[in-house]
Amino acid sequence: MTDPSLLILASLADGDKHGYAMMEDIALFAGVSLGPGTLYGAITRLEERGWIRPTATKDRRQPYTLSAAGRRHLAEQLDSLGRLVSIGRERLGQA
Amino acid sequence: MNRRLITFAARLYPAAWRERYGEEFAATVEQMPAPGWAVLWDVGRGALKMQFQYRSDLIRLAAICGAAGLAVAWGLSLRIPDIYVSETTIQASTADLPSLSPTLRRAFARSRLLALIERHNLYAAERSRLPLEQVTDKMAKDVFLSTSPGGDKTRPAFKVRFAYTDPAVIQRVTDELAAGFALDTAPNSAAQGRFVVLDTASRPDPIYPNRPVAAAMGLFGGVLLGAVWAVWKKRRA
Repeated sequence: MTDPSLLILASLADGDKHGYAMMEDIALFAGVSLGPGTLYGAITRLEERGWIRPTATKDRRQPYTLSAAGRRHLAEQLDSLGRLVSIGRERLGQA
Repeated sequence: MNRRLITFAARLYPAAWRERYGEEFAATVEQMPAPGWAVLWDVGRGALKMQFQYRSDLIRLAAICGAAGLAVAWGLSLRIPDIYVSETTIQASTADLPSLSPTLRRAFARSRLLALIERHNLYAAERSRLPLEQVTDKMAKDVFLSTSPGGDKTRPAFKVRFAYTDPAVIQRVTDELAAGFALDTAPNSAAQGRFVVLDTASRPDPIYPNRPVAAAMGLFGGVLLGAVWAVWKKRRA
């Protein structure tokens, strides 16, 4: 799974994070190294769709939080992925 | 070194995006311990994508309107009948050239043009709806006489050109126009026999409409319209 948007949503699911913290977290849990260009391209899209939003801070590093709509979207995507994983495993005879 | 290049690449993002995300983006890059070439590539690519994303409305509208303008201009140009031109050159055979006006009047006389119209069945569509006088007037406007560089001060040369829609007859008509000019048969004509036709009429050359130019103008107009539309939409929003 390398979709940056989904990785960011998954990263924010356990708490607010700023850009660099997301990059580190994603590298840790998914083994994917997101560059700042890719990360902020996805952050821009996610914020436009209302799935994440910035939280108040005085720091230059802007933390983001998952919105309710973002949480729902992540759940739907994970359900869909879960079904895909399940079917894939079944077909491979690993169920 | 890479940090400086990355900072430069970050300036390639759209101004509106930098206004919103520029500071935190810079803070993120500053936190990276040793950003390499892959990061520089990632930032440059991200800036390019963002330029398209932020200007997508402009690009999309300009592309759509440009394509529509091109198609409309091309379609309209196809509805315009092709106009061909054929030309030949006549030259004075003597330096003792009287005033050209009487010869010109006779060469392009209504009766002579009418004879050509009837002999070659010219302007069939116009003849079905206009009086013959107007048809001959139209033909007179399609015949051009201009000085030719082939002549000199004592023996000037002229180009006789005829513009018409039917390439099958245009050469013959041009030849006959030139012959009528050179071999003026009017009795007691001062200019009689003092012009010679230098060459036969040229092959029909399509001169109008210039479809590639029309299409290019349609494309340009469409792109411009689309860009103006996108800017108007953005300001309205």
